[in-house]
Amino acid sequence: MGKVVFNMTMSLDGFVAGPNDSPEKGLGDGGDALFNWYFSGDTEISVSEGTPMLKVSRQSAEILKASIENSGAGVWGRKTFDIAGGWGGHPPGSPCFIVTRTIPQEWVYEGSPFTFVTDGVESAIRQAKQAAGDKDVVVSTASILQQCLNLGLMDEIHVDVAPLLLGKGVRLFDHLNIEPTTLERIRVVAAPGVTHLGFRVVK
Amino acid sequence: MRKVTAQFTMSLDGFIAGPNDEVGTLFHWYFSGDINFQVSSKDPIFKISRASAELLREEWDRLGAIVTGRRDFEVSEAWGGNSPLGVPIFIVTHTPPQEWVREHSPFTFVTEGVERAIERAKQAAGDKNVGVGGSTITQQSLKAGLLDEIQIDLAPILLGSGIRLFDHLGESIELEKIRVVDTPDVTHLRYRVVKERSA
Repeated sequence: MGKVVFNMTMSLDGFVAGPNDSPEKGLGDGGDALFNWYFSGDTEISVSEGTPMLKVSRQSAEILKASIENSGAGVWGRKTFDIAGGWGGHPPGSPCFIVTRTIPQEWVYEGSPFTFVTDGVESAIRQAKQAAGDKDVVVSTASILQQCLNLGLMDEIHVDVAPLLLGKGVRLFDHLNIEPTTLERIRVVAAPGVTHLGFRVVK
Repeated sequence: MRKVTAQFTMSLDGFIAGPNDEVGTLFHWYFSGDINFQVSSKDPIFKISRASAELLREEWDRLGAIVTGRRDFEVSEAWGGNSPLGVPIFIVTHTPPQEWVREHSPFTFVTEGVERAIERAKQAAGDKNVGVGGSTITQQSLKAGLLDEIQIDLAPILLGSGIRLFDHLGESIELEKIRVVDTPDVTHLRYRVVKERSA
């Protein structure tokens, strides 16, 4: 069975987007700076057809490649799905499970990469694990991480720490209802313009 | 060159203490290594890794004075009556506790705000660094552009709730990574605060 792995870019002060994130401004006010490291290296890497070509450092490229190779399914929140415009039908990581209350019918068709899950995060993770087989289920939405942590479903947390303080916006570690939880450091890579931190959740 | 720095042990979820100021699990790395580390005979003996010891030795040797807040003073119970790390300490407060206002008091109380406290600490520190403590004082120093470097000693733990280091900032501030020192029990992340920001 694969693991449930979270991965997102976060500012040192813990934000994954600025305020007012929307389809027009995916990372919110001032949030684009979080992704400077995606475009400041010399190694090209393609995550999916629905996302721009990245140019990252060699160290970051190795990490991204391994993460793409290990990914067997993705679980996302509806807001992230809407902000990304469904990645034009080419999500980063497929199959792709979207936790939502209402199903956007325009994305329901034969061969759609999306499965819409209306009965909660636990169900979405269960379905994604089945789809992923031996590979990992990747979570890249803050609210899904929070719910997974509260439910004890998260196995690893990977954050790419961007060198800035955003000051306000969408906090990654918010709304947690957990006892202090020990982590075990898996990896620390100080790449140019970003620091990749990986932890295992000790259960 | 003399710098104004802040150094905090922080959980991955951004807390520097629990809801009731408890730091036990955060400070695990101070007691889990095999090197005995003590700044002065009045300070506690830490047991830390060799890499952490080298780094702390370097930082604390350069420390010339401390500025912190009244809450820090209260929570630590006046550090047992001694200035921590054996350097002059300036405590920002509206109402100095009269029992500590006297000649040869180990503490100096500053009622004119953070900027003035840092000024006075710089004078006391000579060519050494000024260390800023307390989350509120650190936030005020960051907002006022008074902080030169931040070191986060990232503890591998999620606290879930407590006192956040980075709160109430409201504006974005660019950083430049200076150094990352990786140990099993703590990850030391050091950043320079970039002040010449483009509009």
